[in-house]
Amino acid sequence: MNDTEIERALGTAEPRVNTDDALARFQAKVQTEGIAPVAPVARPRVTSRWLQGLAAAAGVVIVASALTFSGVAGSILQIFEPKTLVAVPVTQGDLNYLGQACAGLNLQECMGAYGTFEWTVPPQPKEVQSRGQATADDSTKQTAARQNRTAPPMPANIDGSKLFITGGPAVVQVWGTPTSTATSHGQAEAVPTLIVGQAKAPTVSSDGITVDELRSYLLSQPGISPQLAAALRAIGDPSSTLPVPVPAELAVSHPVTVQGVQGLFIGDNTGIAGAVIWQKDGMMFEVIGSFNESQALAIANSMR
Amino acid sequence: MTLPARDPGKVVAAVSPAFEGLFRAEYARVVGIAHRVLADQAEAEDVAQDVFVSFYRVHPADAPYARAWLHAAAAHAALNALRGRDRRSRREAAQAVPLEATADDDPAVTVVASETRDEVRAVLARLPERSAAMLALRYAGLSYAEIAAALDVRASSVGTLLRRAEDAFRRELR
Repeated sequence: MNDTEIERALGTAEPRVNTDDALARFQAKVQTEGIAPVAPVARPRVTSRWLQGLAAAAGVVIVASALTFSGVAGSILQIFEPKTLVAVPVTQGDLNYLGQACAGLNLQECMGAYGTFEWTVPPQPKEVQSRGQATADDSTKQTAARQNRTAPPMPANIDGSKLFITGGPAVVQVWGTPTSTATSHGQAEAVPTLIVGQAKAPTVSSDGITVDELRSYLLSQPGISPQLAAALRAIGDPSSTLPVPVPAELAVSHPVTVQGVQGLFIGDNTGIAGAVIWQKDGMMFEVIGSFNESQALAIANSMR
Repeated sequence: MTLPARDPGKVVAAVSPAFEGLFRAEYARVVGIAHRVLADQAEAEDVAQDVFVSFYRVHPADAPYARAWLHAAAAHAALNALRGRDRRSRREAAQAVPLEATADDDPAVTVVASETRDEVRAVLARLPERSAAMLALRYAGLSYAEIAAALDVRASSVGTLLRRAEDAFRRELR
């Protein structure tokens, strides 16, 4: 293929659009789906909310792991340790689905809907051990009721069983955080230039339920949309694959090689902010900031 | 795709004048960028709708970066859609190309052109994100300054980056 052919192939005929119809379609969509516009306040190109959300992904990963993986029969055994990462797209619809199940509840209350959720050691802002302990019970019925659904019956061997999720210690360093600035539209948000995180990879132990039993039961719960459940079921080796939730409408993701191991790049749709997450030697690392993929990889590969 | 009946008066009442102005000014461009990637107008218009919804949710219509954001988001969202196509949708995209051909076109030539465009889309899907986005934006008619704003690179670097993207594109085709 020569240059002319490439140009012809890429330069397809200009599409003819009807902007009035398109605007009407847009209006119908936002009205039907109840999509509200952003409040008229000043925002930076990369919102700290997005970065904070990405930084919080590690925490969400631990919860996702608890919902996805379980253990083997017998005494408490470690049944999950991440060796690889895989992106799991999470849509606004998935979040709405979970939102209905957890309406009006905080995280602990929401987790409680799937069982009794207790912090064995609460998370602390410095280098500490943190462990979440979840015990399944029949409170999923309350969650199902909020969605007008009937919770599936809990298998006898899951009822009363325990999962132990161990994570940390973790260290997060933030560079280049500008101070919030007042503008003519209001207060602009502070946006960190670079966030580097390092944590002991989370592990999950169980006192006696099988992977298939717990995964099947949890993924059929009312708060997990069918699409998300299908994506989580598609994970090849659930005992060593850490699912990383990626907001499907806002970000792109693909595997990358970081420090000789497979990692995951996540970038927002504008291409001006990104993150690299990888696991090596039992540790999880993440580099997040207002930069593109090549810059994120350069920073990640320069870490010692 | 079924479009709702045109009702301009209702449209004006539903969104702010600033957003309507932005939509009217940039919709065709956003569709054009997505179309370069997808070679399917209906799919490109779906991507454009999603891009505007994403913008509408979290950005003010009068943001100084609005146009650049929309251009970049169009390229990235279209590339996402391209990579997400299964074999069936790729066949549909290939079949959509002849709609732009005239009745006088040689069917054999048309088939070859369709296969070529399909191959081009497969290469775009394999390229690094920024290279693919740069090609999509450039061949959609954006200026170097517009590409620089969209991809957050220096305008003086666009020419070099574009040449590298085209070289990578050719290498992938071999």
